Amino acid sequence: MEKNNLKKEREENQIVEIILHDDSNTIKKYKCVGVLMKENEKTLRIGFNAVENVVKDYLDIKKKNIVDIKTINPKEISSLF
Amino acid sequence: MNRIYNIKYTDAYYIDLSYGHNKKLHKTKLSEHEAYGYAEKYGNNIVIAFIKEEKDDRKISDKIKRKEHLIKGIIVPDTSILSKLTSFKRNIFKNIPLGSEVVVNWRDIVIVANQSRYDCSTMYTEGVFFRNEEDHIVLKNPETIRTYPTPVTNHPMEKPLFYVIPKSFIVDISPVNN
Repeated sequence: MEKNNLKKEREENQIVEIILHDDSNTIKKYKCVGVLMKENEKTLRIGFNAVENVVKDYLDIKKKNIVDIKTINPKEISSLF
Repeated sequence: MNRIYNIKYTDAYYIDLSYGHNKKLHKTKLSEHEAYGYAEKYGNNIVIAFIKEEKDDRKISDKIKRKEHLIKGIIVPDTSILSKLTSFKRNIFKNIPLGSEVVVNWRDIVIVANQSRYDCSTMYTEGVFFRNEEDHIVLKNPETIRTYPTPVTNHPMEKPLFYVIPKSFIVDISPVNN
């Protein structure tokens, strides 16, 4: 089920950091961080920001482009409220 | 720019013609925005990168010198953080009567994708001072121009009915000199 909020306090929300490359370049690697929103056979969706808990910006990442993925412990996340 | 941050902030917004011309404006409030990313303070801006190069740990000042792009992210005024909204109870609003024509200069959040951009936009809005709330003002019949970065453009292109601007975004407000 797709998650549409970014509350790290919610147990079901996993904050993940993903190392990836794009389709055109397998040498240069990128990384991103956000909430794992949904996953299917070939892709996963990561949400970056939300307004009143509704995700606005997200990225669908092809699994074949993922080099590494790790779950971030909420204690590793700094807060700026 | 390697630390992971969870940031809660607010943003300005407008109410467009679809709301209805003759409808009484509902109670206005600022919405809560939230983001995850790699954040760094740059001047009075907070740059939140959603995506970056894996090995990139350079400071923003270095990136600007090298004209490096921010791959994807947002830039918010440092005063947009939720905890700071009511700490800006400034007197600049006190002597301006509701219903008067005003000019407001303010800083706006910007979404960046593949641009060498690390600071907020600057906006100029003319309108009627319609509401003065604790953490925001409302301007009626506003006309807004983005004055930085150039080119100068209207924002939005079609004039909305109202603009809701967080007080903490406002640089200055003054009556229109007729």
